[in-house]
Amino acid sequence: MGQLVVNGLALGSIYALVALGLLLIFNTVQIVNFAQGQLLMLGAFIGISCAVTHELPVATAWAITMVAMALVGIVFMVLVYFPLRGRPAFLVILTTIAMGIVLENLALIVWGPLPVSLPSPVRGPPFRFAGVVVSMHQIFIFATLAVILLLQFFFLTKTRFGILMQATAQDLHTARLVGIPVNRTIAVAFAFGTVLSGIAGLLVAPIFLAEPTMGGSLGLKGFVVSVIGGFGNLPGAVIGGLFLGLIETFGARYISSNFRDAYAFIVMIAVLVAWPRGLFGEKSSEKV
Amino acid sequence: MKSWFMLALSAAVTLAVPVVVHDGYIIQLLNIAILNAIVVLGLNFVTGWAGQINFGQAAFYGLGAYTTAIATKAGLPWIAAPFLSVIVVVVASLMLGLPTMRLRTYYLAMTTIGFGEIVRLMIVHWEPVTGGTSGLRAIPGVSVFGFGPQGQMQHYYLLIATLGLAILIASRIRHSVLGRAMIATRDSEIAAEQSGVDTTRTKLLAFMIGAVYAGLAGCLYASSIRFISPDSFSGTQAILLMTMLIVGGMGSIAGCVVGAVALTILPEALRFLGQWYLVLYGLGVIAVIVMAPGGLASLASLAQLRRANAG
Amino acid sequence: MFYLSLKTSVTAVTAIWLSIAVTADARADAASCPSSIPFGLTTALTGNLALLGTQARNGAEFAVDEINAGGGIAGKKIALTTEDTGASSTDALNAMNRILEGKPLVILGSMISPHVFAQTEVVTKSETPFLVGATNAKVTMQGSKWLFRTHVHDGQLAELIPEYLVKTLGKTKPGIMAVADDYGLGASKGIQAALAKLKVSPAAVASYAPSDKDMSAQLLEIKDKGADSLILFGRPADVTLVIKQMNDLGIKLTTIGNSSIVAQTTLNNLSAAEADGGYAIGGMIPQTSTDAKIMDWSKRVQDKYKVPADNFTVSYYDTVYLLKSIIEKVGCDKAAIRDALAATKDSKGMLISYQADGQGDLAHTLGIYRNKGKTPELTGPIKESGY
Repeated sequence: MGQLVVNGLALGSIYALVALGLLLIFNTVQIVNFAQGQLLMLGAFIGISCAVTHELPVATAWAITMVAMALVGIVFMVLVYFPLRGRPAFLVILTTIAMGIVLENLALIVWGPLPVSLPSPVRGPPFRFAGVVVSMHQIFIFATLAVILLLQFFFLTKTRFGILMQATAQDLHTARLVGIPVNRTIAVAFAFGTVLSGIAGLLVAPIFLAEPTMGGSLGLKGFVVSVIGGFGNLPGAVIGGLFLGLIETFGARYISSNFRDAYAFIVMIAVLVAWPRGLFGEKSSEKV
Repeated sequence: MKSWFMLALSAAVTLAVPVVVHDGYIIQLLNIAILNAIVVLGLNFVTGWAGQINFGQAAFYGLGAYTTAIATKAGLPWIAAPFLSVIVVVVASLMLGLPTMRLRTYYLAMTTIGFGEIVRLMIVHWEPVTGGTSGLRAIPGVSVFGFGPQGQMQHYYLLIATLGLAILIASRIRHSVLGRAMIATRDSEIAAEQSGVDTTRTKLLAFMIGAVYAGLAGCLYASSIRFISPDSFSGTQAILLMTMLIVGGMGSIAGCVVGAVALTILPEALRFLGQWYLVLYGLGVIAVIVMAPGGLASLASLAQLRRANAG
Repeated sequence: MFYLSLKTSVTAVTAIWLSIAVTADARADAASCPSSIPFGLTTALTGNLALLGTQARNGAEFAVDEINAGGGIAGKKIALTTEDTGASSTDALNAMNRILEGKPLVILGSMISPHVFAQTEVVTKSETPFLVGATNAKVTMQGSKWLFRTHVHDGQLAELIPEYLVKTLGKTKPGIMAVADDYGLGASKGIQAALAKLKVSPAAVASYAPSDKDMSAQLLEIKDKGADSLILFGRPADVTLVIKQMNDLGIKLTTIGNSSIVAQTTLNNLSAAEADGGYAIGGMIPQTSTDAKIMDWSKRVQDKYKVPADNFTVSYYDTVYLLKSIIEKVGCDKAAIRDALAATKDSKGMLISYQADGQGDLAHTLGIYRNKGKTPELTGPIKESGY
């Protein structure tokens, strides 16, 4: 049973990271990026291209991937955000879905459908205690999530630029009026949000292998987590992610492994019926 | 005057198609396109007019198809199938609609996706009844008093007639109180409420009518293609239906038909592109959304406007 | 001048006889075969099943190219038309309709059973020999006399895997883990039925969605319920994950399953320690052959298509050559080809021999493999009971 907890939390951490990336972008520009899962896939493959194809050390691969994903984020912003500013939400949804389809199929053309492995940045035998096995990589996943959360908290609340980002998230127009460099904060949000997904990809590839269609399911779970926690709510996303990881794992073990994917949706629908704004509530006010 | 002529012309062309085109494969493709058009017309009620995102339309399509397949294979007379399909999808749409009436945009989108996934998983794992991932084959065809369409061409005419009926009903609803209520809800729910529109009831009705369209199309799909499997009603199909609506022109009846036919035929015509087809499809959808969000239908009316202004 | 020696006369007469015979034969083929013999192939080239589907194209195309390079069938070249079935069964049906427009002489169908189920009715109506690799046991039970299968099927696997596990490996409490689609679930049911006949009941029966990445819950269930072995039925991509995660969790179970356990694409992503010891029963694969010709063939196929050849590549390659030998004998008559296929007896393919049974199944020999580190070893061929 303890093993289920460990595995569930590790899985949940990945979901949480995807959700965090989603929310960073959403908080700033009110766009839900349905291609977030494909960005995760892209991060995994860039990492593999560096570490496996070009045989660079894993740490270097990570660094290059993060920089590359930041650039991808900016390009994404230019291609998706600017043309669709002010358009109805669901056209944006469909545009990001279409972007996801483009990315996934380009990846299939470039890298082919065979799954590929990526070495983990940490090596070593797993920890064993009380009949539970925790691999070094799982510990690394927890550590990465913790570090990112701390960095994000520090950045958003203690640095000047971070506070500006929060202001932009609260009210874009007023922020612009008072002279906040809004475009820069948006760019940083896109870049950072995309890097988070890239990191999730680098964390996932060593245990789940990477193949071009890996993004669909993981992205979807990230959205579900965002909905459960409440859009805009960063701590909510983390708690929601870990929660979902546990539910899926325990559900698959004790209820039925056939409906594993359904648990996420069932929990989401149940939460929404009771709390239409998510467990912890949305930050932004409703747009009339 | 001109629009009547265009209407008559398109009707004539539509009826003449199978006579001119003897290719069974193309007619089969057109039949699928017509069925898709009916589903998209249903989606239009919910998304185009009432403004509610709905990624669950493929699930209703599937529910209609499976209900018909299971019922007719169990020996029930065919005429019972459409009724059963309607009952099943109405119940399902209520199950989806009632709890979600308070939800907005992204939450609604996710919930409808979830609904679609749950339906699909149920179909896949209820193997003794639904045939699981193998699907159901040798489904009995349409048969009323022992008569039924034989061959692709007769099915084509039956489906065209059904599409015509679907368009007619949609048009009547569009100009009715309910239709105006839907559009008012889409434009601004708060303002609509203030004007006395019961937006909850309107949204629910839109969902139900949309589901009924899809369910009946599913019934005909099962009875004419005679083979169904879960992958024809998956989340990917739901997205495809949405793009048909957008590319054709959200809110426009003609747009629904154009979008459905275009995006059913295009993947087949462009098969030689292999993997690149999906890349181009994605880019195409983005291009339409960015440059012509009203879809192809809006381009057509734009052209009409230009001509009117020029002349 | 007029005194011909005996030797010369005999030689002359023999030569004349031979040329008449050869011309007569050629005339039989030439009369019934067009100058370009149309073969049709439908398989998944795009979509989530493309990994499998392309192996059919690779095997068939490689054989066709080889035959054409050697002059074709009795001097006529084969024209292979391939249509992509995509991922959905409706697309598969459309693909078949397109192929039928070209009026092919024979059609090779995909190894994806739902697609074949969707296509069978329309192919049967066209009265064209339909050769498939689809492995669902019920494919050949549809009652179509035009459908033949040239690859081993899950019905055979469902019998042989439990039998080998219980009788040879001596395990009595297997856990079953299968991919939750037509392929895996169908096999899982067959395996459970076969275990019941052996008076063995599984410790646990689990499945996972094809796109699932975390199988630890299912593995833990199997371990918790005291299984002494694991029957694993999936595709290389997911089987890789199951084996990896089993190792990560420290679960040690004798593992036996379908050919995914020894597939090159699986082994590429596993360490030697992870792969070692796994058993597989399935269609025979070329990797374990020591025959220089087969090893060279494998290398050439890999060089051309950038993916290693597997049991399906071999099966489709063999099918094309089987058709070649049949057409050489009976010409380009669809009904005659069908009858010849139904009468196939001991036709030698690359790794196995083919023999038709009453239902249209031609493959009855499977291989038992065991992984030694990352290299599969052939423990032996195994035949379906009755062969």
